[in-house]
Amino acid sequence: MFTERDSEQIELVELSPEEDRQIVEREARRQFNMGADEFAQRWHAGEYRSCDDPKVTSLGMLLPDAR
Amino acid sequence: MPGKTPYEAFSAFVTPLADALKCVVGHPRIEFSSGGSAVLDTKHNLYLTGRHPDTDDYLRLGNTELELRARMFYLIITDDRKDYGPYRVTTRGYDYSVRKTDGTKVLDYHWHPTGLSDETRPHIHLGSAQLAPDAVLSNKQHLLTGRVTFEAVIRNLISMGVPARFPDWSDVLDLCETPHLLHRTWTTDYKQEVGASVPEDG
Repeated sequence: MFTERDSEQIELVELSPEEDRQIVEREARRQFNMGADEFAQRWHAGEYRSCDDPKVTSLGMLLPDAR
Repeated sequence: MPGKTPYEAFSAFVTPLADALKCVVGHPRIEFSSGGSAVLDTKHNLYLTGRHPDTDDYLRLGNTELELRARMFYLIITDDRKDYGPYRVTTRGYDYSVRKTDGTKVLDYHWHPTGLSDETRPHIHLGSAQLAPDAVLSNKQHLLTGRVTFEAVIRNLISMGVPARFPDWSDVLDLCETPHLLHRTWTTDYKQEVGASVPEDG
């Protein structure tokens, strides 16, 4: 049976690398008052090692090379 | 979820998640990082609830006071095993965050198997909206959960009062969840997938 649910379109959008970066930039500014590059630099330098703050891990997960 | 092409594997991964999201959100706009439907062996970000700069990327749920921000992290990989390939998506983390419209956090579902935190297992953080000043628990504690599916998060939201958009939402969520449960290669310790841990049934 065809339902209203089936007719709903899913909008699936591929972001540009710049749009992806803007998400990290915006969140780094809002949460830590720093830019994405500075956060990434501190992250990769290990400054947040063992940090329990969920805001840090949320942002760290967004980094392109955080796998 | 397996596919004959990288895109097919990506589509098989995203479609049930979108269907689950539709149980509480109309016409969802799902976004993913550049190359996220084709490029192999690279970590990609999936923004299940899209981008909303005015609300820190949270999406209001119906007329409730609750908002959801859901992100997953994944790789598209090759897999030679029968019924697992030739391409499939493997999840490499999730961040499902529920907050109130005033910005106070309710619950964060986290799994970040790599990175700098000492806790690499799936867990939740209780938000300030659920914590009293003298509470035993704190926001920074990692409360272990096992692997939580996105469908389970949607179920929990509905139990918190978010209106379901379809009367058969529970069946829909069951259907969405089944392929994932059939094909996932670990439930509590992702190291099983890479052979660095003893399988639960082994």
